[in-house]
Amino acid sequence: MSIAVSGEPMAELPGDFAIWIFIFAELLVFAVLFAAYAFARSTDVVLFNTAQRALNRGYGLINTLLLLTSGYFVTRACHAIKRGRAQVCARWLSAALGLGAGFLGLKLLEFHQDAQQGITLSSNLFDMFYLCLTFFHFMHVVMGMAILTVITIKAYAGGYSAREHTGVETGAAYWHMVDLVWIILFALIYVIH
Amino acid sequence: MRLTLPAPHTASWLALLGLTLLSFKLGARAGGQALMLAVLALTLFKGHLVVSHFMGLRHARPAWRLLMSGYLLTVGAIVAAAYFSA
Repeated sequence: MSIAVSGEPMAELPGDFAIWIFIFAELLVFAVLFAAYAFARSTDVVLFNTAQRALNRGYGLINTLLLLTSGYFVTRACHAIKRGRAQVCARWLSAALGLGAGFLGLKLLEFHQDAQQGITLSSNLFDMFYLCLTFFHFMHVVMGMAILTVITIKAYAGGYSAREHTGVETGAAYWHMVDLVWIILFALIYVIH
Repeated sequence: MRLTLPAPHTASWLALLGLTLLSFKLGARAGGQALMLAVLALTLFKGHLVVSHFMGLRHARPAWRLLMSGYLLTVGAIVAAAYFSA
């Protein structure tokens, strides 16, 4: 076994390797979408900047804080199960799910208010990218929450232990990917202009 | 009194919240290439924190860390190139 500089053993990727293939594929798809958005913006900067100002930046900020904190809770769940504390792990996962639900609720409210403001897929190019990118990400959050729910139920039932917790790490890896993608989306859609 | 440092993942979470607020404040200012580069740099660093301390790649083989760092840098470079070309 190789040893890292810190003295800790160098591990393979956490969780099931198959999820990492999926994660890398998803990241590649999002990278193409980010590039498409950025180059589309370069064709009409004024339109993009004007349309961007119509968005509720506060919602974007709160949702970012919710997802980052949710990711932190999932990390705490992983640390808990590695110490064999299954119930603590389940509670951290439940808290992460609560924040994930908060993200979805706020995003739905934002989509509703966007529609009332006339922000639709056909209103302009920025709105089309904004709705497609954030809805595509929204569906990934839904998927991540479904995975976390299954893991949480199994954790409460004592299905994981300090020795066997691949499922927790696998679900956590997916959830962090969703988090990572949102960090970039937040900057592109709500901040940089 | 003995001060104890927070665990790396807790420190990363606090840094992520702080950097998000900083990016948000920067975004409230007038735009421009300097702002774009600053926010992009903050975003890539936030991504690095998530990959290292949340995803746990800090302890993974260097090739995996390199792959993720390469991803973040490539996305950052493409976005910067597109914004500069505008």
